[in-house]
Amino acid sequence: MLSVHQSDFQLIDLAINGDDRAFQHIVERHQRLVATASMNMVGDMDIAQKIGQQTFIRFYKAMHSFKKEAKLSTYLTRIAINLSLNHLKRKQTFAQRSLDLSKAINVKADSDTLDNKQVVHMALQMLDHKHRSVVVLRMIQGYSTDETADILEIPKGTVLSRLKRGLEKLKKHLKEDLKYELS
Amino acid sequence: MNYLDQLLRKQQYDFGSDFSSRVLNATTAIKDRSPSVHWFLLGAAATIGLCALSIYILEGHLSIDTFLGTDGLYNDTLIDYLNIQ
Repeated sequence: MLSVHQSDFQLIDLAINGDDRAFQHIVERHQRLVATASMNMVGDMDIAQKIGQQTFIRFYKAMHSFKKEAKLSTYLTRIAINLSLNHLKRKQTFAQRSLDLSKAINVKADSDTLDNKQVVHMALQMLDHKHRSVVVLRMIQGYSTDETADILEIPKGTVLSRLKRGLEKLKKHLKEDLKYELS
Repeated sequence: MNYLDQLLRKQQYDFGSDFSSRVLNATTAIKDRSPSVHWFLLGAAATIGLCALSIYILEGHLSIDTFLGTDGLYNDTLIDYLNIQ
């Protein structure tokens, strides 16, 4: 019998034995963190949904070999971030980035009714991938520096320097490009 | 926590209530497309069994030589070859 109190590992064991409801439970439990990671990385909900689906399908295929010393949330976030980065590398040419940036500025010019979330979202999309991924994991998803380093497979010092630089750039984009007052 | 930190903390998203069902449909499709390993092994065993049966019917007996098709080679070709040598 499934319950909300069952651990991820118990649900994985049930899912491996063919319990589809257990797998659905895992998806329901973790979809928010996958959505937050992918949406903040790619900036488009349709693409983020596809990446989200791919993330869980990859996990489904690799579930039998999942090592239980790792946290499932970290494992899923790593897949989502890697798929997002792959997508950005494939699709985001310099020309597209420039277009996105000008589009973001035009949105600001056209409308002053954007809420804080939309403005911060646009500023995030102006960051390059390596800074964005660190800001998303550390500041939005609340992972520690160690966990962020582990997910991105980069040294701890690199996480700290990218975070500092990323936040500086984010403030600059908010103030200068989007004319947003951080008070 | 400064104001920017607070704003960033609010950048949370959700895929919606039907997302898990869509993922489940996709995984079910994968399951339907890829039969499990035991079906593959059963198929291989059945193929070998059918081969053995057809060899027995054709040759009247079953041995490693008849199964590998080397009985004729040993009796005819190889002896001829040795005689020539």
